[in-house]
Amino acid sequence: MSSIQQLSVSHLLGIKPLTAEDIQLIFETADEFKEVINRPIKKVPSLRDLTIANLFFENSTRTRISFELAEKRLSADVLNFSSSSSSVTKGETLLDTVNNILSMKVDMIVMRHPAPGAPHFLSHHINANIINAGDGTHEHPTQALLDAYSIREQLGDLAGKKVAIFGDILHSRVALSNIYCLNKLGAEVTVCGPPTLMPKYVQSLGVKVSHQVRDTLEWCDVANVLRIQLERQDLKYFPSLREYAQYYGINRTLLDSLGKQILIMHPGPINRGVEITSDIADSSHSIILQQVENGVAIRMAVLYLLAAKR
Amino acid sequence: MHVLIRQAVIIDPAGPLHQQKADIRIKDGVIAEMSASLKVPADTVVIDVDGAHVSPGWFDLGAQCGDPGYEYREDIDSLCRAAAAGGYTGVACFPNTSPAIQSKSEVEYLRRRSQGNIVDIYPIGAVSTGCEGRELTEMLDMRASDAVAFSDGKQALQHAGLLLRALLYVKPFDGVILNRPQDDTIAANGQMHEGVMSTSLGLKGLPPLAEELMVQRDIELAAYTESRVHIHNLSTGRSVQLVRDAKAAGLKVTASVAAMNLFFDDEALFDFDSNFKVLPPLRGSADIAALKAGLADGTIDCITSNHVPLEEEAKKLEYPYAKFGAIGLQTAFSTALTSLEGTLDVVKLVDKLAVQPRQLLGLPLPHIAPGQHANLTVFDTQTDWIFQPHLNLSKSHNSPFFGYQLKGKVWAVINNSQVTLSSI
Repeated sequence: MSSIQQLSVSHLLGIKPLTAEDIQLIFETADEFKEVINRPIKKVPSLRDLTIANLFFENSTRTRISFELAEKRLSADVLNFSSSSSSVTKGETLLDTVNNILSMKVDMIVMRHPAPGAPHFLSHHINANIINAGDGTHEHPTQALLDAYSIREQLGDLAGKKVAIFGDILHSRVALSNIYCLNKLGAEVTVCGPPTLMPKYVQSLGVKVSHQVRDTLEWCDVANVLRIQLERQDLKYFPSLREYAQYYGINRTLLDSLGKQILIMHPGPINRGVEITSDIADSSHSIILQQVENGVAIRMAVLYLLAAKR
Repeated sequence: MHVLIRQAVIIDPAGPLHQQKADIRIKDGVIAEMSASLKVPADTVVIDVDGAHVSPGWFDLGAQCGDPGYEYREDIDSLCRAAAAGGYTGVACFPNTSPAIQSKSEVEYLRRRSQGNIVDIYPIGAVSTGCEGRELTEMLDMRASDAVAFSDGKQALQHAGLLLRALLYVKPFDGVILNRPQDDTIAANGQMHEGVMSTSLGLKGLPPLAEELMVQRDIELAAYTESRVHIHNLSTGRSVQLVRDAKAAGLKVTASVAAMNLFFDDEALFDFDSNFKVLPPLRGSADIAALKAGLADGTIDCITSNHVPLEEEAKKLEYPYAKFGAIGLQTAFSTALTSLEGTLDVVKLVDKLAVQPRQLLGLPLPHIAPGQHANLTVFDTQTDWIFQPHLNLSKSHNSPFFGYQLKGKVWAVINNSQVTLSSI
């Protein structure tokens, strides 16, 4: 890593505060790390002086594992903390929990939290680099970075590419971060889903809105299909999964009728047979597993670049 | 107690000396004499400020007090200190205490507990037991104990039938029901104004519709019952228009706006600062323009402090877990003046701060004239100052105004034979 370039931020709270140059720098750094993790010896000593705490206040499998792998491949010391209950119900405040951990000399925090803005709140009160690994319905920046990186890998420069995001836009941090990221890289974005799962002012983010799955598929080069977040819905936004699958799900018949090849992405975990059928998820259209692989490289890049800001 | 106020412009539209400049001498709580120039007797507190104005003491239509039950947020003494520093000599307190102000014993407790203070405290009784929106309280009894109005305070009255019966029930004594409009089925779990900013923050919005539906409903109920409803702290442009139309139709509808809703818009929330998490939520700039127009043309009668003291543990949290509310007694006047420059002159501002709130509650308006009981506020309209934490007299510290430059300063309040001078 001979690059002397630096990120414009010292935390990764979201995609919104990043510049297009920041994103390009992360991609270029990830290119190098992707090469590293495909070597027989997948480890570099870059962060061997650092201790990183992964604080997961919400269930996660792949994001937590992906961060942990990225940290270990950079030779950081890793501390894992998981709690499915929110800080409020647990009786200890988030700030107390994190300050306790920091007093044990931790340098960076990777945090997933159910409350939008939780990492921003933390960044005002503690002195450590913070990486947002998902804050409620707000942002999930490393997911958006790995999504855009995966598209770039398949289709080249994102400028002018047409990306459609399908599903529960209202409750999705992946959608919001993807919209910010794709806009900054010059891609065109359409969001598609039932109107009850669409924020009223979503167009103000610079996207088109559609409620017709077929039309949107015909328009796009890439379909990023989101997970239906039943756990984040406090009310009933649609009557049944059966009806959702029938009218908003993506299946083989639909894709075959398009007369063109599009990329299928999904941030996981998949509700097979709801937003996407198994024959699509497992088909050659799908780059779902490449996304997972790229996730490690992207997270290594982010950790590495933020460590340089210390 | 002897006080002499030097060369103050009198703002007292219904009084005999409106807009005249005079020296005012107060002896034992009564305005003893007024003239172009007075001698200073011995042992006299002199208030001599460039550009001083003096008006009837201001009156806040609706602050939250923590007494009884939440004294760690605000007790009567701290509320009165903050109110006096903000220029108020009278404050109507909402019933969201524990227990709620819901029977004559709580009303009398509050009256008794606040006696002897420079600020007069006026209890607002609950409409429903525990402010839970189900059973009507004993409003006649509370009225007899001098409750000035009825409201469930920060809890909007969701049940139309309950409000209808309450409006009918208070008619014999020309009572008024205050309701802060918010339909909770539309507002469901909203965290801030629904708009571009809430979308970009991934926060669930409080749509203007949630307020406007209830404003419309309350106006219809006022029309049907021919009773008095006060739309408390409205915040959207459409709400202003609905009230304007209702007034034009001759209905007994009044309205107020919180000073903080004139000063900040929803952009203030860009960084998830929970001190800006208030109800009604900070809206968009078009709404603010409509609120100002509503104040200027008389659609909105009063400006309130929307004072909601909360302990640090309820605010220093991840944004969605923080409670709604901000303190405002010490900053309401200056934020209103700063926001309304060019919209409202000082006479109209005093009308919204001192005259209309009392009129609405049927309370006598103090005047500035010899022989009158001295109940007045001394202030100016040009001093720039910054609200800093060390100036805060509330027990709670949840103010969004710390560090902001404000225009117009309160120098003194005089009431009940006491004087409070500005601490800065």
